[in-house]
Amino acid sequence: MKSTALFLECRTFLFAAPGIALIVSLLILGGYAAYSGKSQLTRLAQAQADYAQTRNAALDAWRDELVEIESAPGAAAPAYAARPMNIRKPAVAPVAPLGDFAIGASDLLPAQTELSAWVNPADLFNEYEFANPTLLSIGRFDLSTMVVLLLPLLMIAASFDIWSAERESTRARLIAAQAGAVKSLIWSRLLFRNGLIWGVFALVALAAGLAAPAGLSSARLANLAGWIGASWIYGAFWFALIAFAVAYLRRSEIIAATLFALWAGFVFLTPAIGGAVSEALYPPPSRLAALSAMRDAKSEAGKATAELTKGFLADHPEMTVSDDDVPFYYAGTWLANREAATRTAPILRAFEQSRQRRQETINLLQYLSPTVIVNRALLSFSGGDVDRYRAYQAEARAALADLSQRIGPAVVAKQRLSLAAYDAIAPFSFTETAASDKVRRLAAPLSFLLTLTLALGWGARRRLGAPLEKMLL
Amino acid sequence: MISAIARKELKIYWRSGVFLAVTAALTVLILMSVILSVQRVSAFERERMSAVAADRTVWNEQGVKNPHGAAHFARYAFRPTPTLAAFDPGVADYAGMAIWMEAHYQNPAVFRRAEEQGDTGWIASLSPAWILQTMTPLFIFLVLFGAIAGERESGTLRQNAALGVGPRAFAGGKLGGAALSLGIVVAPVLAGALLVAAGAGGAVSLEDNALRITGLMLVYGAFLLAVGAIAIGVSALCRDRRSALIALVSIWAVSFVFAPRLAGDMAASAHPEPDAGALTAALQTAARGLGADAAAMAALPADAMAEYGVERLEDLPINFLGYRLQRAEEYAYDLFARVYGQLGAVHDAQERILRAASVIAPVMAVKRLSSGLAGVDRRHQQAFIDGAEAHRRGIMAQLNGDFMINGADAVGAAYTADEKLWRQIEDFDHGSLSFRAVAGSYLSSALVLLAYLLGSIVFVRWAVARAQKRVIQS
Repeated sequence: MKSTALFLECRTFLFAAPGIALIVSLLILGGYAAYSGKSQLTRLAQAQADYAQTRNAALDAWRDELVEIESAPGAAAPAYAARPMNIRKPAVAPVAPLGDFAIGASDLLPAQTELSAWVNPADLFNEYEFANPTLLSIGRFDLSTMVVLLLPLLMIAASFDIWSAERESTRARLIAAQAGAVKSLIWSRLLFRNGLIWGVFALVALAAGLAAPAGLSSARLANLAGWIGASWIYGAFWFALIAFAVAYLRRSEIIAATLFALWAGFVFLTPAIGGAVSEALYPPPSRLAALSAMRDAKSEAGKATAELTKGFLADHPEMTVSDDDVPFYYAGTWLANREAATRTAPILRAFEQSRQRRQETINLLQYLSPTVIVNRALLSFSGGDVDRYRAYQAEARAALADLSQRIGPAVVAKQRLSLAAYDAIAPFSFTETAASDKVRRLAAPLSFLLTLTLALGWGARRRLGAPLEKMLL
Repeated sequence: MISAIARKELKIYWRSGVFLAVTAALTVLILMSVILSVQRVSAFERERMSAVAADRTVWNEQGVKNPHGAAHFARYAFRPTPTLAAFDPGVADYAGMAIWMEAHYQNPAVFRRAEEQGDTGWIASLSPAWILQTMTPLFIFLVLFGAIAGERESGTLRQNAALGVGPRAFAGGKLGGAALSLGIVVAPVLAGALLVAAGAGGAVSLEDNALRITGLMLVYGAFLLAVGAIAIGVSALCRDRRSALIALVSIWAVSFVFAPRLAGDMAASAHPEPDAGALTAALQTAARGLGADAAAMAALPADAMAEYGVERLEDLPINFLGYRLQRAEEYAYDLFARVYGQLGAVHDAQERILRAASVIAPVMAVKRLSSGLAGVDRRHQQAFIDGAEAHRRGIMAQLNGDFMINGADAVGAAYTADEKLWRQIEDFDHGSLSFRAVAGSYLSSALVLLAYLLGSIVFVRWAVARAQKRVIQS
């Protein structure tokens, strides 16, 4: 019976117009999404490499000046040469190991900056907002978008009338009379059609995952496994939901309308309403108000540099101020930035707290929509999630604070760093979250989704195993 | 005949549980989005006004310093929230809302609210316009998929055709009934949403706002009518309700969900965004413009002496440093214009692809018209940027002018000014861009929408005629 059912499926679906159209469109769209992600990643990686190379070349020139000055202690050095205030270290978040699978926040949030004591931590990320806002507002098309938006739609379109069409055309009675049971036929058809969709897509995703733009690393493989796992859980959820609808609802258009409405609700309405509600409940602190507060803090700190200098020197009695011909604004800026950083720290903390509260709301609301759960998982494994970029920003700010602390005494004392002290400042390196940590973080929502899937599947199985007359009516 | 069919349709819809459920859901969604959007935009406008006041205070109280020091401390231009942003936020959340009007440098607009949206922001963002552009067509398709296919299944299509009801009357009656049924719900909600939203943002001219609201009503009216016509036409082409539903949902998914994203992606691939690091470097080069041009720098003293009719630099009646600073500003105008012009050309090219794609996905034309009418598209953002740059140049000219004239007797940068001068610097007042002034740039999208409407009406008439012919022949 099973082989006959499969043979029939091949004839009526796989080698018929709908099946061929499905496979071709999946291959084309999947191929395009993979290509688009790869080309975006390659461009970004090249731009970052250029950025780092330019900055490192300037840094090497700065170091050469210091080497020259240290090698001739008695000789007069140019006043501005190798001044610690002019250290500008690149701080780049490299493209994520699986970055080509989701654009996510990568076209919105900064991934590179320059660590320099001329800026304070609140102003560290600036001049990156050049992208076309029209394109940003439309969104992009990548492999994660395909999983979240497209694949459930294709599954519904391929499966919604798997049994109701037979029932409406009265073929159902004939099948039942010949086969005796319809349960295995319905499951076989569901598995065949949805397996085809996910099989083709998994091939595309695997090919894209193995054809890594920057070489196949263990981190990429681990994240790829997590990404495919999360997408399969999502696919299993939709499979169980469709089976449930097929088992319990009778008319084709009711099944289709219900499934499409659920899709729209899970994919669009819940995230949209959830986002709006969480923003209304925990509005982000005003960036404009924060800007004014920061300017005020900087202005006040700038006015008080004489007092700040006195205070700093009193705290560091071991320091002697050299009579080098360095403008006072070097030390003044460093002191003002240090003071402004202290004064603006509560503002940055308020932003972080507000973000965390909104995140907690989303953490709860995600249980209303499998799409939100899986979207977050896919973004997390592909490294396009907001958390990754926030972590980078926090690390860059910490690195700037470290740099500022290391050079501060020398700047205020109008002295230079020793070569050893300079070499002790480590280059910036972003710490990627390991795939295992991501799995741990996502375990609860994904387990919930898996449980929901099993419950729906059990419900569908129970109904499909009901007496035959129930399935025929 | 048309009115009789329309009245019958109206009765059927109002007795239909699906229709009532869909219209109730739509009304609740629009009202909810209006309340949340108005609350959001009102908060933004309060924040802006408070930031303007705070910026004025910080500026006035910066203390005694050289005007050029003040020019580096500088002021901020804050983008006013357009009155209709509560209806359609357009690109407002994705474009910077503040510009630092600093000496020597034309800064880009900063602070994009979208950065605070989190991981779900890219999927959907609740606003009345989004509901009308994306969800309402789906709701219309879910209500109308059986409009003709259902009649065919129940056999009434053959009866109607046999009675001599022509395709024009049948299609007109069906469309009229659907438009009336949905219009009774959607039109007042839309009008109310627009009026409430119009009160949420900053002040604009009443006439301009009325023009924009009328435009939005027309755009959405035409769009939803065309969507209804497509739904009835597709229903007429399909053999049964099930095929009609699948066909309509497929059209919705392709045309309203995926085509815009694919077009956006293709636009970004065909015309990639310049790297931010490279752009910053180009801006920094532009800012150093005069300083890096040895010949122009060397010619400056002679220029100044010629301009003031003196033979020696020390006879100048002005402070030469102030003169040089102002000339450096003027020198950089063209250089900044070139850098931002190249960036703007890339964005224009990207949007040309989007406009071309609107032929297959007319919702993109609606998006463009809607955000333009609401005053929240890139065109309006550019007007804010241009206004801020003009204001920056005015501030720099004023500060450098004071340095030149009142600092004439001071040596180098020793001259200082105080709060008296700072108070003379005016706040940035962007005002509002009149829609009449920019209406021409939306003509292509308006034509696409008009063609979509006319095409859909022709299509529904043809599809109904075909269905009647087939049902009679069968």
